[in-house]
Amino acid sequence: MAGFIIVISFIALGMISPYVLTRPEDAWGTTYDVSKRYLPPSLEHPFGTDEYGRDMFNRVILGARFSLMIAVGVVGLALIIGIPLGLIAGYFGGKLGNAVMRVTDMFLAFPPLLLAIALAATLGRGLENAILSLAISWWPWYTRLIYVQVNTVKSMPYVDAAKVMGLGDLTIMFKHVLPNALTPVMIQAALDMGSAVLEAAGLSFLGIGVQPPTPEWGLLVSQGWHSINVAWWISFFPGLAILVTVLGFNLLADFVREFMDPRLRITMMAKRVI
Amino acid sequence: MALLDVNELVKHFPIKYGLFGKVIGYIRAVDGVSFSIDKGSVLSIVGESGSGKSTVARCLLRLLDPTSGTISFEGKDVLSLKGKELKWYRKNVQAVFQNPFLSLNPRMSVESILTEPLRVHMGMDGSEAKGEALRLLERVGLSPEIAKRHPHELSGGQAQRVAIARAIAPHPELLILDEPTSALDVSVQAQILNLLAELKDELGLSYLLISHDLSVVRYISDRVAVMYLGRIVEEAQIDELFNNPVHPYTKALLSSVPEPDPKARVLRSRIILPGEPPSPVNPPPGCKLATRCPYAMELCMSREPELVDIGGGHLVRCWQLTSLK
Amino acid sequence: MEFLRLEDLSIAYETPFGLIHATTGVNFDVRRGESVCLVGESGSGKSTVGLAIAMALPPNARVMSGRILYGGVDLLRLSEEERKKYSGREVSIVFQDPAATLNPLFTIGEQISDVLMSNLGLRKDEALNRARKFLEIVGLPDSERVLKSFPHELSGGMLQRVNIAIAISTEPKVLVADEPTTMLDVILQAQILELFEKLKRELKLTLIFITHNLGVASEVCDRIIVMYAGTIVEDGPADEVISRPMHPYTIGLLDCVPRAHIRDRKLRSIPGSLPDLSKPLTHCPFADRCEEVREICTRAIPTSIDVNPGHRVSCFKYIG
Repeated sequence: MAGFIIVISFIALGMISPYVLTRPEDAWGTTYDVSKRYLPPSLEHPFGTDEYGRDMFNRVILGARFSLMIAVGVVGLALIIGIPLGLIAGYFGGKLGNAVMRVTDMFLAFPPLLLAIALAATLGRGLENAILSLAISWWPWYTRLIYVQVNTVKSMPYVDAAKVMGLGDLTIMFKHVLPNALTPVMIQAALDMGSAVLEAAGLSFLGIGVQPPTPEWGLLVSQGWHSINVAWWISFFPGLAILVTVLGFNLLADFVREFMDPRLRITMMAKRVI
Repeated sequence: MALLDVNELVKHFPIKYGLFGKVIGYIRAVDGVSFSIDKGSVLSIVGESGSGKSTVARCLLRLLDPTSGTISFEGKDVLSLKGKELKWYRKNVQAVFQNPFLSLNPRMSVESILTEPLRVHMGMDGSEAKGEALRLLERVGLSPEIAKRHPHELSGGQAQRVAIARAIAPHPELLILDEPTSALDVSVQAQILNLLAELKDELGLSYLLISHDLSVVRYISDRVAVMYLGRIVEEAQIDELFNNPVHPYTKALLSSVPEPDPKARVLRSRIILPGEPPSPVNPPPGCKLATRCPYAMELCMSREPELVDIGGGHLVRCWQLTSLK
Repeated sequence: MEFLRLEDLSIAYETPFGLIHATTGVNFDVRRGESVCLVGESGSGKSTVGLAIAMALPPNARVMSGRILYGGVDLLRLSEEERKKYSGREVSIVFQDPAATLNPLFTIGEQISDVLMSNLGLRKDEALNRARKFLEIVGLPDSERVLKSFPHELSGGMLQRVNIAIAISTEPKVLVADEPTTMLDVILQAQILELFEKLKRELKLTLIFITHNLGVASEVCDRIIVMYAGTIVEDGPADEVISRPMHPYTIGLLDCVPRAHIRDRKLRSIPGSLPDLSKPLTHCPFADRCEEVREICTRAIPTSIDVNPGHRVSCFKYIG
């Protein structure tokens, strides 16, 4: 339940944050006020200020938007690549299916973060490239998930019925198989957004991906790192934001898993067994 | 000319093993099956699991490609049909499967489920299709409000009625019913059987009924074929089979059916076959029943008998016809 | 004192959709050595009753009221400790799916001996000897091979025999069989029913047999209890219930079973469907499907009345 609240708050924040900033110039990093450097947390600056005198609270709030953009971008792109591949491989099987899955396996063999780093380093820095490289390291998971689901679904009697009805392969794939194979993948994707936030933060922390002055959380943590002794709050609050968001997604994932499993079982029981 | 003619249908499934999928054997699910269905009649294929009856149905529906054998429908060779002709076949040969909750797409509303065949085969669209869908619902005894629901919101009986409505939507000639009542409660089963009987008369349909339940078969069939391990062992007109079963397997099957009425039970001559059917991977060389048959002779173990007509279209596959009759 | 008595048993299941009332006010006594069939379709509550007697109800079951008295002890209100004395020892159960109750990772021998060692406190070799004896009783003379096999190496029929062997190996007084042949082919079913006959005779078991098939019921049991929507509608000697059914549901059920051995019968069906079990019972549950329904049937729950010695019916037709 807590997970649900956190995730909803994150998404809401991500969507509205540019409009609720009290100090937008600080958030976007368009000004600096040297007189206000390294101010500890106070009523006026709840999260303190950074080395440029910018209000950290505003920066963290705006940061939610970038994290959300990345999360949605990465997962969305990975789905767009991964789903059609898995669908085709699963439905047609045979040599085509094998070929696609072997390629998928190859990508899966790479540690995802490492692959993302290598790609980002090659493609160059910036938000878009960060999203692209993460998506490229991510799609194989979805292909595999969909592949397994499609394999189960394609042997269901309603697919047989569709064939007996005389429907063509394409129609069957998109009308009968895909909608029924999508659910676990979509659930996984929604929950993966938390991991995407974390990985993006990791990339920015390492200097690849998002560039200053964009207030992405990982970048903020990285920027506050060298002043951690004198101004702990600069890294702390963005770090806390990452932690809470990812925790929220994980809790939501547990909740969803628990909710889905026995519910399905009990529905089946209620129908036949009493 | 019969509506459907099946000749020496064979389906063997290869068993693959190891990294490279080497074929190490075959499951001989259907091992030479022949029968025909006349227009307007009901043929039932009866057998236990592993008999191959469902595989026969799947071959007829072209969900599987047979290993060998021919199937002809209204004189045309079914296995070579393509394109428009295949579509014609599909329009005329429809199916109702065992579990309606699995054979109806859970994400489609009943209305979409019914309008799909109307669009594909009857060229109907939009409101015309919706109207026809409602008419179909009424024909199978369901109220129009069912149209907006999804399969999981229906009871077993209602869902199977929807499946039947879907099957008759394109005005087929032949319906293949694969255990249409096995997943339903007894009282619902009766409703569905009555519906099927009515529809057959009203729409001039022919049925191929696959079942393990002899009582269901008796209620609705004209002819019955009994399958064991991929072969038909006996085939006859319905009353003839039940009153005068010859093959030991048929007798065992009939005598195993639990009968509620103690008076009727007494009249039954009981044979209970010991053991279980051998594996369809390496069936015994002779008659498939030889390992369990109380009358088996050495001949039965080594050579498989042919199907013989013992009179009036009653076919039996057994070496000991004279003594068993 | 009666051997086994179910008193006003009402059990419900907690589900995400609310409380589902599986049984309401179930009452019956069983004499020692009797074989009773609980017959009904899905939603009748028959399995719930069987599971309750065997103390095998799922965790989301709630006993709303009632008792199950076995030798005076209420089986539903035992402590964990006390439960162990009865479950698996005095009362055993065989389930519908032959493969479901056996662990695919262990051999049959290991699983049977586990049961015997924990329930009867035997040593492993004693347990295996006893296992061999019971495997032979259930018609598996090749007991050595069976003991060494894993569940997936045995067929459905053999597995069910193994399950029966495990269930009777502790020499229980009561055996509950929950649709033990439903998943088996008809010839195998006949074999297993013959086995139950034999066990009934030789071990003098008290048998509670659950099935939806009236034919099976009359072949195996002396007494049939017909259940509908969680209540007992008719209870009497098997032959009498079949040849002279009194409750409209029993009559309807017999009419709608197609028979292999009787020809030219018009198949009647029971219109309508089960009532909503998420609402507690306020009147006769069969009222909206009953051809002979009267006004009072929609207002009150019928009590049971004896129409013949040992044969009772719950129907307003017979109550004054």
